[in-house]
Amino acid sequence: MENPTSTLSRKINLLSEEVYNRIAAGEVVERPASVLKELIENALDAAATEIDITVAGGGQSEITVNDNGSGMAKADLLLAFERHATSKVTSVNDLAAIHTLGFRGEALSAIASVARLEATSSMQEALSGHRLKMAGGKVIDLIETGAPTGTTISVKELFFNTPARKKFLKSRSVENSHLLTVFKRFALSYPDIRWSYVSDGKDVYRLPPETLENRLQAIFSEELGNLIFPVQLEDDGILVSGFIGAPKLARKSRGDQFLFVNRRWVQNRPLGFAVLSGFGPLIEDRRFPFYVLFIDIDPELVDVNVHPSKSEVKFRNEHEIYNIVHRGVRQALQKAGMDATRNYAVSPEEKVDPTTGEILPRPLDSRLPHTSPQQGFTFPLPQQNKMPLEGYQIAFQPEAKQATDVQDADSLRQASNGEIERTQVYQFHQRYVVTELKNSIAIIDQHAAHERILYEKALRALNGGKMHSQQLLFPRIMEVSPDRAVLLRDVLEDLQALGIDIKEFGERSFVVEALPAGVKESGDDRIVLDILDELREKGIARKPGHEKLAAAFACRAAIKFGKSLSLPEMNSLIDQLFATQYPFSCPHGRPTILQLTLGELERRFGRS
Amino acid sequence: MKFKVAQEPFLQGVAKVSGVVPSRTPLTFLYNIHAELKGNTLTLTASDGDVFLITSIEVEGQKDGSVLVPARPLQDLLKELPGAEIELEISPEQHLLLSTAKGQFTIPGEDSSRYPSAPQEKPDNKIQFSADDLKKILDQTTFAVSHDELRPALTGLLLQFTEDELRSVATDGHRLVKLVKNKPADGGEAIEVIVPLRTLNLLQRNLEYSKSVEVFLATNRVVFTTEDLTITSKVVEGKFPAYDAVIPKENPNLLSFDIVPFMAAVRRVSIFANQINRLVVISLSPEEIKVSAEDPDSGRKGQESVEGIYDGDPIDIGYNAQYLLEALRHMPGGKAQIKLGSATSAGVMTPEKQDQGTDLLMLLMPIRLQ
Repeated sequence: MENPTSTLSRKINLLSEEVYNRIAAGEVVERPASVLKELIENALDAAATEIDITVAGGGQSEITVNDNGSGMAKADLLLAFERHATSKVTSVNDLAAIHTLGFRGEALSAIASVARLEATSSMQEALSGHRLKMAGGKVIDLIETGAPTGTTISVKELFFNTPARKKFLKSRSVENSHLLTVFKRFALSYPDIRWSYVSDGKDVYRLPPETLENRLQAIFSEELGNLIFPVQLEDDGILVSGFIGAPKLARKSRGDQFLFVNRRWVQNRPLGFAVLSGFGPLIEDRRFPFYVLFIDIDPELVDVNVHPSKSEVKFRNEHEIYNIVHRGVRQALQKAGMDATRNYAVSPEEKVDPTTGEILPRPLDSRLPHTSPQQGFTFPLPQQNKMPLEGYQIAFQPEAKQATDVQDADSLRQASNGEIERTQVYQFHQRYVVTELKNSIAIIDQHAAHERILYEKALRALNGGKMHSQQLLFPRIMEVSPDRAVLLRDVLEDLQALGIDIKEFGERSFVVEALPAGVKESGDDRIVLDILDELREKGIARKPGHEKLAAAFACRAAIKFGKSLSLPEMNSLIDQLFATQYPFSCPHGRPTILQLTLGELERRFGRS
Repeated sequence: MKFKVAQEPFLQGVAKVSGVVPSRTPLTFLYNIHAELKGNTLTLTASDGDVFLITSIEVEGQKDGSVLVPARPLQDLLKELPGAEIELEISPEQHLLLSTAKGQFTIPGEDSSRYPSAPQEKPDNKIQFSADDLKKILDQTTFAVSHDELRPALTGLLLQFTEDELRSVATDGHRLVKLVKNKPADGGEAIEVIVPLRTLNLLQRNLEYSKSVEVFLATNRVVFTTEDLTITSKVVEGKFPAYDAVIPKENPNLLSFDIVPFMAAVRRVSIFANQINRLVVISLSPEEIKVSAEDPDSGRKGQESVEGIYDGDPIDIGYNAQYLLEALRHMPGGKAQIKLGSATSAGVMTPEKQDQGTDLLMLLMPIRLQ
């Protein structure tokens, strides 16, 4: 047997600088969007006031960022693409007070190591500039050339020498939407800069320097209208500013939420939650408010060096910031005449805490029989036969079995055919429909059940059946973002089959003329955006299959928890559910019905 | 504050304004009625923050003052004191001390300075209505007002005064009512406002007991005054859609029928409609007029021939039964007609005989049949 140590030592070779760079690149250059981010940060750090971006082929063929910033001299140009060559951090002390955006230094060299790169730069008052060409991290050419002040960095054939990474890239449209997301973050954070963004030869954005409010309108053309409210609150040296959207702008996904700390886009869950809590009950469950918020704070109090992609931040005094954000949002809503402490959705028995907007637990005395020893109406607890605590817990375990086998199905079908009369139907907590069957109680999840019904209907419609649609008196014109427009065009015909009569009305405009009859509350064209969001959440950026689209439609059009149903509506829901092919689960596979049988009840009451 | 008053007028006054008191609000002072005594006039105000109801009653005043008093217990007590002579006084700690010949009752009140005050001045633009006329306008239009908070401009009734007409328009995007009336002789300038449905409902309740109503309009505020009640309300902000553009001018196919039997048939057939989309189909040909509904999910179906005259191309057109029935119900009696274009365009329903000086029109968008 060989000595293991010697085997190992023979196989270890020193990595070359080049390979080392490529590995490091993996950390920073995850996908085309990360390249774009680095290049833009570079331009911003050079104090540019005009930034033009060109991308092609989802960023794989080309990402070019052109700025009018301070430019680089010949030596700097070379240095910029060397690992850890950065003009920004000269001593360790500097790290404590980072004011610029890109400080890690390795970014440009990392990019250079995995692409073909061309950088042209010229400094102000310089007679000429320089052009550097590199491929896979190696300098190919460096010439003197005439160039306007500023820097143009063009990254082509990204990952040409790292096929493994290339394989992990998503489709062009997915990468395109990542690129756009990165662009949007910067465009929002720097409204004072003139931006342009061209993708595959098409003008996507041309943004003049403008106020933040105008920038918002330009970026999210989707009916922001007068539905955004300014936030401005300063406390203890921390300034929260920006805009929040009216509750009705809230979406099913987090897509339209932007948080910046010292103008740097960041992710920070607690702060996202602070915003949400500021809205209180104004926002429905599982909807996400629109916001673009800026936090200005002493850089000493923030740690941005948490992750190489620099999107996570840590605050020294998180709780305080949380508080200011929460108050800022609440104040903005109040100024807009909306009271986040008012709860519109609680049932009459529930009470709302006037300061926090939270639903308070019901006072104990309203749940228990009123007891008053003086009057003699007490309910003494059984001393001898006290219910053992264990038994009590068992009795409340949700053990009811899911109706899946054929027998159950038949008995339920009979029930819906009227062979067994549904004597009692009622709604529980505006969420579940409870009905009595021959030998059991059936509990139906109203959303999942309706989802199943709509899913099968939608599938039939998509396969040629078509749905009835209620014509609208006033066609609704919808403006959508460029990435949504791409997806929407792909599903246009299918949406028509689903009863959503929608047509193109310009580059990013669409007109809705009819909506599925009886599917949703009147005139709610949010369904279109909801479907797009659902598809995007599932990672679908281009033409989805019929099943996927039907599932997205069903999910977003189905009645929600919290919707109260009339008796005929509940009966119709049950009838329709059992008329479906697979009544027992929703398209996502969750159960639609739970059954609590008589036998089960008897067992639990200790009768058998 | 101290005064004497008989139970009946006091209760009536309280009841008039308490309709607006919200049942649940975090602004707890809104649970109160604001009572203010000046000389022999007691002014009662209640509000939900958006709408103010104000009424005055004559009392035997002894000492001026004002207080906030919770509406519910006051009204409950007054109901149980029929025929009583009441003496009311506010204690220094803002308690309401009510005494009758035999009883003493204490209701803790609050300092009145917290209460929001209704804008005092009335807008200049004034139009006078008889209560009956206004009631009729509201009865025929408000049912079509939208409840969709996503489109605020549709959640009220558009009142549009021109040189010589008053147009009242309501729509929820699926149907529309337009009622044009000759302007009352005593009419103000041209103006338009959207009045919230809630305000109109509060007004409707009080019109029963009134003879005439003065309406004061400003672009941000509307005030209705009857003999004994003033309603001040904010208006709905937003732009009402260009409704005239969607009213078809040239619908060539004409259906006319007696409203009562037609409605009865639709109501019967609608039992068989799909409970979710409520789709009923009207099949029209010069030979036969047929109403039908079918719910493939349950296998139920029904159809019925109805009397009427149809002049036009054969056409099958689908409607939401609820919209159709509500439109029919708000037509004046007798005969009505529907002018139709295609199976996907708006049908125009009008009464065969318009009331004098009135032009009533309802639009119904069909459900597209597949």
